[in-house]
Amino acid sequence: MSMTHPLPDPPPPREIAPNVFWLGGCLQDTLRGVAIHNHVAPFLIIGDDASVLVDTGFPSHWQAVSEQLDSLLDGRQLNWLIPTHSELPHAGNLGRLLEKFEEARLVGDLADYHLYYPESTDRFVAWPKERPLKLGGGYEVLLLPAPIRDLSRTQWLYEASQKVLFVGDGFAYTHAPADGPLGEPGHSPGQCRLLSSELPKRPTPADAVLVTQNALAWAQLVDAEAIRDEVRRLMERYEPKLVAPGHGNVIDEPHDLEQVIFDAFRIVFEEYAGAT
Amino acid sequence: MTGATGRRRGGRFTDAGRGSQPVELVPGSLYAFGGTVTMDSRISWISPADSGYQPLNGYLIKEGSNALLIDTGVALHRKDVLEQLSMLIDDQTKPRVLFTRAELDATGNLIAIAARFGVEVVNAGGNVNPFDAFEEVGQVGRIAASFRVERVASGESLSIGDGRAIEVIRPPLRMLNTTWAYDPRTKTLFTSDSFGHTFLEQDRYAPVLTAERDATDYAQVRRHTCARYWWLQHAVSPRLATEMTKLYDRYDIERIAPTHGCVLEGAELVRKHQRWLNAVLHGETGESG
Repeated sequence: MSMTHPLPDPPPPREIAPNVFWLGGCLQDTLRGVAIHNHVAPFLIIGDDASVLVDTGFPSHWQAVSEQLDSLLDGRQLNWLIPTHSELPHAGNLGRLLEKFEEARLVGDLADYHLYYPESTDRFVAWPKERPLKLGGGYEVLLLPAPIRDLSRTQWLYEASQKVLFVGDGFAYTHAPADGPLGEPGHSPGQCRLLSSELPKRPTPADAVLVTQNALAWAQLVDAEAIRDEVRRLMERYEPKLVAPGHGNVIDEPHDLEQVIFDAFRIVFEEYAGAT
Repeated sequence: MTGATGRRRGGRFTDAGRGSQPVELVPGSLYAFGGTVTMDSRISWISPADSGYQPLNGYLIKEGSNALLIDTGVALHRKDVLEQLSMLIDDQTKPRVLFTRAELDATGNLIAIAARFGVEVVNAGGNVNPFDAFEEVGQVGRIAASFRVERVASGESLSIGDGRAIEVIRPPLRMLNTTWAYDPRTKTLFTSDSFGHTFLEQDRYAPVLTAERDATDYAQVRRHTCARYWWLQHAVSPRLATEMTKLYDRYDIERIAPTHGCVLEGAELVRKHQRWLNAVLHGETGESG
C-alpha cells in the first residue's frame, strides 16, 4: 500500500537564478514501504516585459501556488503558460490559471488542449520549437523536444540567459522526508528547496528508480541508451547550468545527475528483463 | 489508408452516427457515449498521415437501477455527454465512475457529471500512486467536486450491483498508470488508450466496426499505435507482446471498447486487431503484420 499527502505548507519559493523561481511543493508518499518526498514543481521566469509559468503545480497545491504567484508577480500579469505536457501533475491547474490571470495565454505545442479547454482556444498560441519567446531584459525561452517523457508531445524549455533547462518528467528523483526512510537521517522542512549539491545525501540511482518505475512505464520495456544520446546532444548544445525537473530537487550538477538518472533507467530495464 | 466505410450489411448498428444520441451496444446493458473529433495534428495520439473523424468514448454499464460509467469523455463534448447520459440515467441513480487513466480525455466531464447526477464514488485501478494523480481529478475545475476515490487492485472485481461485476485489469501496454476492465456479462474488454487506431471517414457514421465494415489495415494500426506509444520506435522487450497474449487468453472477448476510436464488434474482428497490435509490439514493419 502507499499513500499520498500533499504537504500542508509548501515552502516559500526559491530564486534559483536571477528572476527564475522554483514554486509548488512536495507530496509525502510511501511507495513499496519506502517513505519519500516527491516534488511537483512549477517554475516562474520574470523578464522585463513578460513572465512565463512552466508547468502549473499539483491541483492540491493550488492555494499555495496561487499565493506564491501573487507574491512574486506583485501586481504584474502572468503572460504565458507553458505546461511541459497535459498530464495532471503538470497542467492540472491550467483552467484555474486561465481564470485567475485574464491576460495569460497558453503557448507552445498545443496538442489536445482544444479538447480539454474548448472555452479558451482564443487564448492559445502555437509556438514552434527553438524559436525564442522573448520576455525582455535578455530573458528568452526556447521550446525543445523532450527526450525523456511520457506523453508523446511533451516539451522541454530552455531559458537562455540563465542557462536553465526545464525538463518536466525528465531527471526525476525523490528525496528523503523529515523522518527519514528506513531509519536513515532525514531532513528539516526547508530542505525541500535545496539544490542537488546541497542535499545532505547526494541523489543515487535508487532515488530515481521509484519515480522511473511509477511515472515512466516504458522504461522497463526499452533500453534507454538511445534516449540518453538525445539528452547528451541537447546538453552539449545548450550547456545548462541548472536542470529544473518537475519531480526532484533542482539540479546544479547536471552531468553527475545525468549519470544517476540513466543508471536508474538501466536498473529498471534489467529488473524487468530479469523477471522473465 | 481509410477509416471505417459506410458499408452496412445488417445488424443493429445504424450509419446515422450518434449525434446527441448514445449508442446502444448491448440492449439495456451497455452503451457508448461521447462524440467525434476531426483528426488533425492538434491531437497527440493519432498519426498525421490519416484524416477523418475519431470517436472519443465513455461507456455506461447498466444493471437494474445501478450505473457504472467507464471514463467521462472530453470537455469539448460536454453538452452531448450530459444529454446522452440524461437519456439513460434517471434522477434517482447516482452513477459510479471508473477511470482508466487520470488524463483529461478520460476525466474531462467528471465534475459536470457529478454536478448533474450526484456521483459519490470514483474508482481507479491499482494502489495510490503519487505519479498518476487520480486523487486530484475532482480538483481541476473552478469548482472542486467532492466524492470518494476508491482504488481497486488489478484482478479484483468491481461490483456494479444486482450481482453484476467487472474485473479490473492492469494492462502490460500502458503509457501512464492505466486500467482496463472486462465485463463478463457482455464479454467486453475496455482498453482505454489501446486499440485507438480506428476512425471514421464520415462524422455521421456510427462509432462501431463489425468485420463487414472494417477497412483497417496493419499499417494503420502501426501508425496510430506508434503515435501514442512513441517509445515503440525503439527496440521493445519481447515480454510485452507475450504478456498481452496471456491477457487476451484469460478472457472470452467479443467486443473491444476503447476510449479513442471505434468499438470493435465481434470475436473475429477482435482477434484480428489483437494480432495486429501484437505485431506492432513485436516491431513488425511490413504491410501485413
